[in-house]
Amino acid sequence: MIMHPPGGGADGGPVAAGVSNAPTTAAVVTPEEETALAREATLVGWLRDHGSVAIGFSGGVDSSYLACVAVDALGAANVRAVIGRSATYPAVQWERARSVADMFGVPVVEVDTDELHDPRYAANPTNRCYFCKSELWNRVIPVARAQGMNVVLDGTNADDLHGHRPGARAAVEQGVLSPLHELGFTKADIRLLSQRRGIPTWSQPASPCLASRLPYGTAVTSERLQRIESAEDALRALGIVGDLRVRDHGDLARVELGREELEEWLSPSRSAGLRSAVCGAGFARVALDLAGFRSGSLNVLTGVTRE
Amino acid sequence: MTDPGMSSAMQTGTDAPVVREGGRVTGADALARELMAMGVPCVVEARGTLAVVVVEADRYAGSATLLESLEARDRVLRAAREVGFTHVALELREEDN
Repeated sequence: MIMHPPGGGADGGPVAAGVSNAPTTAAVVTPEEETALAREATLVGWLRDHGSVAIGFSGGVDSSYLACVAVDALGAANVRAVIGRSATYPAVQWERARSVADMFGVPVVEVDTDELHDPRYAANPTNRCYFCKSELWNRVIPVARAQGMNVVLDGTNADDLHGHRPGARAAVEQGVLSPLHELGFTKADIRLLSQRRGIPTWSQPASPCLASRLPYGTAVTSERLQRIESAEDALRALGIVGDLRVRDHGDLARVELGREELEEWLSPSRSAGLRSAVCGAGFARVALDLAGFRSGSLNVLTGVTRE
Repeated sequence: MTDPGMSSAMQTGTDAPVVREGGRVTGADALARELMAMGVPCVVEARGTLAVVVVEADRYAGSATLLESLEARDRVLRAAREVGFTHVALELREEDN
């Protein structure tokens, strides 16, 4: 376990520009913003009622927002953002998480997780996320207790529980609380409030773990995860900024891009570079999905959910 | 959902008939025929409910350019859904013209 002190001030209080509740612009508050700000005020009260919190922290939109508000509400001394590290967690996401934490003075603790060595997880069943999250919380909760944190939180929001989310059950079973869900925060609320606070993740695409690129039933191995991560890194290096998934179909990589970028990369003058980048990561064949990015795409492909 | 075809099903998108031996037209066959009608000569490789469109090498650039159009892609996706595919992907090839 590695403990990283907050990157900001020594008093444990708010330390970074942009953490205050002041809006970034003096624009008129829209009804949506008013609703979101009311939820945020409720969240601050909720956090203060709990005194100190450990947060499962991925550096994604939701947990970054929650960690920043928690530091604002409770002071850094009463917050731990716990990063679970394994081969399923992209290195670029870790860098982003550390960057946000440094920017906003969020104390970070890192723990290694070992879900790949759990055969129930590695077999990649449709409830794979349950075993991954069980492993995560099994590691995080003792750390939280050892550091004197009263409760453990995750960044689940009110929009999250509509799809196929077996990982949520692991959190409930282990007593992990989900204030963003409990208080009705939508993803749009979180993006809007993150933007107001200057949290750079506000516009970040969703970034689930790398295993989500493997069809159910395809074993999760570090080699497969590494190939996917290399391919996605190579595509980011080409300049793709929006939603992006490299879905692993064995010899074939099926690339899903956000609709705003799909047309550009279908052009033969651009697609050659895309193909070359993905083949360079170890795939023999590359195909571009004509519908573009769809969250939970492999759930539909394997019949776990319907469109 | 209808069965889009056996996992190994492939059908040329040229002028060859798409009706297979025994008279059965698979989803892959039907989709290849629709693509051919749009000007995309190809084979369609069915992998479960994923259709991989493999365009003839000497017609790749023109076909890919055609599919840059949202309208064309929507037409392909609709045709694919009608025969049981949930996903359609265009295999990328080197430009050959």
